[in-house]
Amino acid sequence: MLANGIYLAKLRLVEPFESYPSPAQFVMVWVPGVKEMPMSISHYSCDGELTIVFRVRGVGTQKLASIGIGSVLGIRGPLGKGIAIRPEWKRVAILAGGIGIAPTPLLVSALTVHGCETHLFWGAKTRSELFDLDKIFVDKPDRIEISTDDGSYGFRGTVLELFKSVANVHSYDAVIAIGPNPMLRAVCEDMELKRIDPMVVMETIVKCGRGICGSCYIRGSTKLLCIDGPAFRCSEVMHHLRSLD
Amino acid sequence: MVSKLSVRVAGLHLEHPVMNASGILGATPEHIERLASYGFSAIVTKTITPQPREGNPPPIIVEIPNIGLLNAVGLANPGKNIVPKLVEVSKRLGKPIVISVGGSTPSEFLEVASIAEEAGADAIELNLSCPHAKGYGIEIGSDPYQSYEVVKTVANSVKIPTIAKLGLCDRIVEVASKVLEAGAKGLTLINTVRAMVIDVMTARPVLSNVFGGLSGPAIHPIAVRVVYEVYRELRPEIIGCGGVVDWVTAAELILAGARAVQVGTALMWKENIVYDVLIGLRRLIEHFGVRSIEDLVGYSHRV
Repeated sequence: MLANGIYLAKLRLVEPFESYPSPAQFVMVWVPGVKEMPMSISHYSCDGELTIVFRVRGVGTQKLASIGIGSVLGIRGPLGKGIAIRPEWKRVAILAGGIGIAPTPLLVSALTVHGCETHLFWGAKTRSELFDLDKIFVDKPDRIEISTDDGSYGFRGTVLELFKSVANVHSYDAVIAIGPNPMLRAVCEDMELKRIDPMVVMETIVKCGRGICGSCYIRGSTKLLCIDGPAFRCSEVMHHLRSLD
Repeated sequence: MVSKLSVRVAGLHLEHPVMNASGILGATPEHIERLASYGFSAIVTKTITPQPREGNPPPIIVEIPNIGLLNAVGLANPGKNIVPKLVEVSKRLGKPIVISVGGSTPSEFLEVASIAEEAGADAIELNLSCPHAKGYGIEIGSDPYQSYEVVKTVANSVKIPTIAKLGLCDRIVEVASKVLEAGAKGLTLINTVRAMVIDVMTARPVLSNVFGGLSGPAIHPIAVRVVYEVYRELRPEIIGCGGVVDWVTAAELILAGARAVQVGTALMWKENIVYDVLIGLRRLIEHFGVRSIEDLVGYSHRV
C-alpha cells in the first residue's frame, strides 16, 4: 500500500511484451473469476516486470489489492497508442490529478531518455492520498510540486491552480494532463484561452480494448479511446469532456 | 456505367460487396461514422434490442493468436430509441444502413424492425444466431419453427427487406429453407461459433460468460462450407460472413455463393482491409474474364 486505498503491484509476465510500452499505454488486468480492468502501465523492465499503481474502487481492484504474492493474473497489452515524444520538446509540464499519477513514471522515463526536462505537478484531494514519489519513479522528475484540495499538504487548491500559481505555461514545449475528466476539462478550457492545445490522458470504461465493442467511444468524434488513445489533444476531446456532466 | 464491383443483394444496391459484420461498433452515431470511414459499402449496426442492454462484464474478449477472437459482449446496446439517430448519420454519409435486430420473442423483433423501417433504414438483419446471450440469437435460430415465426412476423409487417442472419447448427439448410419461406429476402451466413477458452494457470474459463462466439480465420472454412451448401440446395441471396481477412477469403465466400461479404474481426489487425479486398476482387474478375463480380457469385458450382 502506498497511501490510503492506493496500491502498487509488481507483476512478472510469463512472456515479456513484444515491444516496449509507450507512455500512457495500458493493459487489461484480469483477476481470475472476478473482473478484467484497464490499468495504466507505471513502469516496465525488459525482462518482463510490469508495475501498476491503482486505487481501490470496486470489487476487481479490491480483490487485486488483497491477493497475495505468487497469485496468477491475466494481462493483455500493451494496448492503446501511447504518447509519441517529439524531438523538439525540451521541457514538458505534467499535471497529474489523484491516481492520474499512475502512468507518470513511464512518461518521465521516456521524456528523460529523450533529453527532455520534466516538471511534475501532482494534486490530490487530501494528504492521506499522497505518498513518497520515490517509491514509483525510476527516473525522477526535475521538479515536483504538490497540491491538496483541502490544503492539508503543499499548495491549497487544484493541480491546475497550483500550476498557474507557480509555473509559466509558456515556458514549456508541451503540457500533458492526466487525471479524472473534470480536471482534464478544466485544464483544456483554461489552456484554450491561451491558445494552447495540451495533451490529455483520459480514463474511461474499456471493455474489449481492441476497437470492437465501442464502449470507450469519444463523443462527437470517430475516435475510440482504446485504440486511438488514451492520449488525445484537448481539441479532439473537448466536446466529449463537456458532454459528460 | 455500373462498376464491375457493384452488387445487388436482398434489395440493396451496393457499390461493392464489402460490408461490416454486425457487432463491430455500430451502436452510436460516432460508431457509424467510423465504420463509414473504413470504406464499407453498407453499414450494419450492432444488434439493437427493444430495451437497452448492459452486456456482459469484462473479460468479454480473448484473442487467440492465428485463430481469431472469442467474444461474449452479450448484445450490449442502447435500445431501440437509438435507431433513428443511426439511420440519420448513415444517410448523411450516403451509406445504406442495415439495422441488426435482436429480440427474445417475435414481437420484440418486430418492435425494433418497425422503428427501423419508419426511420428509413434500407434493410433489417434479424439476429437469429448470437451464441452468447441467453434467450436470444442461436437459441431461437437453431430451431426452424421458431426462426420461421420470427421472420414471418417481421417480413409480413415491414416493407424493407428482411435478412436473416443464421449461425452454425446441424439443421442449417432446414432453417435457411424455413426463413426463406417465411419471407426473408436474403441470408447472412454465418455468425460466430460458440466456443470457449480456459486459462491453464488458474483452470478458469476466461470469459465472464464462460462461452463466447469464435470469429476470425478459424471459422472461415466453416462459413465457406455453409454458404456453399445452402447455395447449392436453395439458391438464395447470401451475404457471406466469417473469417474474411483478405481478398482471398472474401473471394472464397463469393465463389461459394455469397453476393456480398461482411468483415468483422480482421478490422482489429487491418483497418484498410476493404481496399485490400476490392483490389484483389478486381484482379479475380480479370483472371476469370468475366464482366463483373456478380458473374462470380456461386462460380464454384458451375466449374
